[in-house]
Amino acid sequence: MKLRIHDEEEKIFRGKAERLREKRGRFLDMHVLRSLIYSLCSISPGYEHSLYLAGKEYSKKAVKKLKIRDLEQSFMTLSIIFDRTNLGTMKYKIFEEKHLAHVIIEENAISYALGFKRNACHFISGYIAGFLEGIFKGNIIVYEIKCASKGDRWCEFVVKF
Amino acid sequence: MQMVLNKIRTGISGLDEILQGGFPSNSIIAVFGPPGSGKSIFCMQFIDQGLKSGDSCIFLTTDRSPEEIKDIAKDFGWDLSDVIFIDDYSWRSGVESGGKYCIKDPSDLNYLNILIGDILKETRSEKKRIVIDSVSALILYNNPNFAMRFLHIIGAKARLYNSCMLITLESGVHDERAINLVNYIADGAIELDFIEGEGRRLRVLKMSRTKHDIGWKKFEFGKNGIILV
Repeated sequence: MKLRIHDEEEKIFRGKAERLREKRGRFLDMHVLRSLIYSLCSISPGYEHSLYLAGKEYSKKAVKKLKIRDLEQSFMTLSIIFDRTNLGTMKYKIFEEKHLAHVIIEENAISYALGFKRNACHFISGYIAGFLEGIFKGNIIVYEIKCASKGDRWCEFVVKF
Repeated sequence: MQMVLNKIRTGISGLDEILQGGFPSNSIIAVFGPPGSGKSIFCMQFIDQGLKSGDSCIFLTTDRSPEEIKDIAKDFGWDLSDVIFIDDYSWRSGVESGGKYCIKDPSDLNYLNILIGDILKETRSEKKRIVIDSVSALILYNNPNFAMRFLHIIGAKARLYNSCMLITLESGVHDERAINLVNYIADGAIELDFIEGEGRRLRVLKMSRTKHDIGWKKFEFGKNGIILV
C-alpha cells in the first residue's frame, strides 16, 4: 500500500497545509506540541476528554481515503504514521479472538519525560480509536494504562474492538 | 415548610436560595460545563454538605484519584474521609489505589452497576448522595448507548434508595445526542461557565418541582467553596 502521510492532513485542510509547509518548512518544534498538551492537561482533567475526542474525530475523517481492510493492516499503517510523523515507535500485538490489542509507543514525542503526574496521551488514544472506527465502523475503546509522561518506560494502550 | 423538608441542600451559598432549599430529593442532577469551570469543586461541596447532614456519600471518580480529591477538598476545609469512593481513575496508572472499591476495566459497566447497587444496599443512612464525576469518561471509554443505559439504570437505583445523584458532563466534548440523553435522564440541570475577564457563572437550566430563576449568576471560589455573588 502506498501511504503518503500528509494525504490525510491535506484532505482536511484542502491543500492549505501544503502551501504553508512550502513557506515555513516541514517541521514544527516538538516543544510547541509538548507545551500545548502539558498546558491543557494542567488546566483541568476535563481537557483529557476533549483531546481524546479531538484525536478521534480527526483520524476518523483522515482514514477515509486509505483503503485498509483488515486489522493487521490497520495497526501496521498506524505504526507507519507514528514513525513518519516522528511521534514515536509503535509496536503492537493483536489478540483477535479476544477482540483486544496491546499497543506500545516508545519515545513518544508528546509525553516522553513530560514530568506530569497523569497520563498525557489522550489525543493519541483518541487517534487510534478514531482510526480503527473509521475503518471498521464499530465502537472502538482505547485506554492508556502506562504513560511515559509520569515516568513509565513507554506508553501502553489497550484497544478493545 | 413541607417543600423545604423534601429538598437536599447543596451547601452552596446562594444556590440553595435560588432552588428554594436545594435539589429535589430522589433526583438526578446534571452539571454541565467546560473543563476548568468548577464542576468537580461543585461536586465536592455537595458531598461535604451531605456528610454534614449525616447522609451516606458515594463518589465515583473517573478523572482524579480519591487521594487527589481529598487533598483538593482539604484546601476548602472539607474532610471527605468518610466518603465511599469508587476509584475509576487509578487503573490508568497501572497501580491499584488502596481503596476498597477500585475499577480495573473502565469499559465493564455491568460490574460498576452491580458495585453501586451493592454499596447502596449496604449503606444504612436514610438519605444518600451519589456523585459521578464525570460521565464524559464513561461515554468516551464505552459505547455511548451502553453508557446512557448504565446511567438510566443507576438513576433508577438511586431513586429506589432515596438518593440524590449528581453527574457531571464536559461541555463541548459530546455530540448533541449525548447531551440530550443526559438531559432526558436528569431531573435537573445546572450549567457552569467561565468567561475570560469576567469570571465564573452558573445558571439553573431546569429543576423539577421547583420554580427558579434561569438567569446566569456569578460565582467565585471562597475559602469554604463556591459562593454566589
